[in-house]
Amino acid sequence: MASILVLGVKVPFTRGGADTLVNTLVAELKRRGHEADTIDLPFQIPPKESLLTYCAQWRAMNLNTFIGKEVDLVVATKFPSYFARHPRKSLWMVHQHRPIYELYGGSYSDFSDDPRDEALRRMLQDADTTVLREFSYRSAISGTVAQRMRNFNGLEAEVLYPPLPLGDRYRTAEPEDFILSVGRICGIKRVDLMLKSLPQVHRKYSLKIVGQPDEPGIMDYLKNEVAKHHLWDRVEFLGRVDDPTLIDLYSRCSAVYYAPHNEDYGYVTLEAMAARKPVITAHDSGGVLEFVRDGETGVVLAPDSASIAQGINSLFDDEQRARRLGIQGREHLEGLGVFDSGWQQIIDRLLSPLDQIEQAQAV
Amino acid sequence: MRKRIAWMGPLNLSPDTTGDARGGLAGESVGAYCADQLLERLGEHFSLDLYYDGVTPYRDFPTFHYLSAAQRHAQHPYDLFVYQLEDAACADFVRMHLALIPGLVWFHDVLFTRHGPEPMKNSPWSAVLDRFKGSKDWIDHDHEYPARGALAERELSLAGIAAFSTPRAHCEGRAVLGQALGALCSAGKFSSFYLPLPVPELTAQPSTSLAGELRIAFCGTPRIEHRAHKILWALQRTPNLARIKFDWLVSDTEYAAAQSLLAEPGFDAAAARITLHSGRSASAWEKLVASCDLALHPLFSAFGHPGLYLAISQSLGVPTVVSRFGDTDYQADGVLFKVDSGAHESQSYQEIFEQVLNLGVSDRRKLGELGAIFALEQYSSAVVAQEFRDVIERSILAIAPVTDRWRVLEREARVEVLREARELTVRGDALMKSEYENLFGATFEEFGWR
Repeated sequence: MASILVLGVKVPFTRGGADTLVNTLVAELKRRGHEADTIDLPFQIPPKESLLTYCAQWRAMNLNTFIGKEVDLVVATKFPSYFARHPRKSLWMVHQHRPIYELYGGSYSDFSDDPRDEALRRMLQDADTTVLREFSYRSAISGTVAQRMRNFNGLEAEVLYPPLPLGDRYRTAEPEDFILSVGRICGIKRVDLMLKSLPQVHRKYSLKIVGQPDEPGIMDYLKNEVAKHHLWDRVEFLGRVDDPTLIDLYSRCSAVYYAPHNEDYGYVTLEAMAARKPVITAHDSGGVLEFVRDGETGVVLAPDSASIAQGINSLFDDEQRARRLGIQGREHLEGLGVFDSGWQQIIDRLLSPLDQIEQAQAV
Repeated sequence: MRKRIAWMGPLNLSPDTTGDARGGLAGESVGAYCADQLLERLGEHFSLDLYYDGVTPYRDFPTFHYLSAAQRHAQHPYDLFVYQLEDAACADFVRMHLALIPGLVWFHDVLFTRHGPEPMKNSPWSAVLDRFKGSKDWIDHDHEYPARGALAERELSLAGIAAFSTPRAHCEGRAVLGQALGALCSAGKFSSFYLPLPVPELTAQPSTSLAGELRIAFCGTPRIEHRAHKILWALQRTPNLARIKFDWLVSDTEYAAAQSLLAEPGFDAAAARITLHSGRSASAWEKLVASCDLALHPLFSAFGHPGLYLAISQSLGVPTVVSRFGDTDYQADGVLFKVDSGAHESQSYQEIFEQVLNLGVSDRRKLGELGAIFALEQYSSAVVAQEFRDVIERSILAIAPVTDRWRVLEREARVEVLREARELTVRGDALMKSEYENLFGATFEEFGWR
């Protein structure tokens, strides 16, 4: 049995998919008899110039031994945890610092054409490439994330989809007249797009929004949209909910809206499919599209309110079709190893650097 | 040893490779069409690496994501960056990058109908220019910049060397563009060129019209500046309308608007003679206009220009109709029909339709002969590629001082970022201030963050 550290990055007072991934990975490692723990360092931007120091903090730490015990392996997850130094490193990439990569040049990046921003971008990108090369095993949580590494750093990574956080506890009930939106509430998740579509969606459908804001001013903006479109009786902000409530909401909704901009992976997609619900998403939603096929397991729409409203209306015009898409989503999921059974393969792969060492020692 | 050129602009890739590009795929893009015409020829003389906002290879050229250009440039420097800039979303990444490494910018537009992506709206380019010219201070990061007008002031200022694909921008435009142009260069040292839009050496096709019939092709938008409403009214009032066939090519996004225009009251007879085609692109226009008797390219707007589509029609020997406005002033009256925009515009179109209709099929083509000669001399891709080759050679020499100074600016920016990073970490923390070097010095050294 090995001693393993899973490296996470924590934005205090928020909780997202990456936190879930780190915690569930540690739990699964422990379940298999390994001694596992997490190292989380806090992270916050802006100002973006701090990014260099965040990287250096990870790099400066000695993770080789704790309380006299040697650490056999570290598993890095997201930026900048992979800057950590250790003789045996395994990577399960959640995401890099996206504003210097595919988000660059758009509204979701704070990097401008100021030469200082460009200098910072180049320093970070070069360093990313250097440290990512150090890993003896590289994987990513989705094809979208793996492709980012290939495009920008010239490095390959195996795709290992993280299993569902609540395993096989998702269930299905008779659909009620609401659309469910789940996830952190911030600009890039585009909850506002759904809000702006709602006035054009059949009046009997309402919207329930699960999740907490993690961007200053975002709730004021969304509540203003609700008021502007007179949606007081059709929109409900539920905040963070416990697991049984979330499972219940998934089971009773008519469909799940999840259309972030170029999402890395998105547990929400899989949770919706596990609950046999069709997913409403957008052409540019990244990792979501690795699971949702238009007209098969959900609807894939242009990321504008008119198209989203039109797509939702036509989905709900044929309730049988909506149900069928949900069922097909579940069937599609069964073959992907994203239920509990998928963990064994993931752990085997992440721990493969240990096998290589054993083989080397045997030789 | 061949000169190394980084070519940055939209590219036409096969339709099944749309997945990895945010906007660089561009069936309608002028820049993409130019790349199709020129790259093979330029590739015979230069070592070309292509950059756009995707990674799917274009033909047999080495093709990379534009955000890897700086890294590759650092490892193996290019002699010149060539940017193709136009007023289209597919060229937004070019607008970003031309501010990062100066080069030769080929302007297909100098007025933009859109601000572009978010960072363009609040770009510190004017402060960067001040710094480039010797100002000591860096501007505050949180500084907000006023919204700009339609003129591509930022892009014109940051162009190390400029080339213009329209004669108006190159000639008269220089006066209008004023100080914006070539701000990176010392006074009197700025170079700019006229590089027309290239078209293939097309072979005129025989008209498919029957005797006494007239086939007209039009590729303008349904918006007012392309005069569709005037053309439809002219058609509606043409006595011999039954002998006219009219093909109208529009983009997919404007198809519905074109349908609506045709359905407006008063256009019923004209609409009945019109076949509306979607999928507007230069190559679609080539196919459509080749067998027509008359091509319509009116435009009454400071934005855009009929350039490429007009050149294709002329190159095919098809008689062309334009507005007496903007770039068409640079062609002699006998080469094309020129129509004044305004009260008598419909009447003028109607008279041209009647005039051409009453000619025999072979006489109609004679009307296009001068245009075809003009196009062959001015626009053929062989001619433009040769011209481009000379422009690149001269630009490589001319841009050297700009590039040298820019490298100094980059080094200064790097030093400033490192200073800011340190300042943010040690601020108000005496212990961190004394230990910063001990804690992070080795890492900064390792990554060359010095």
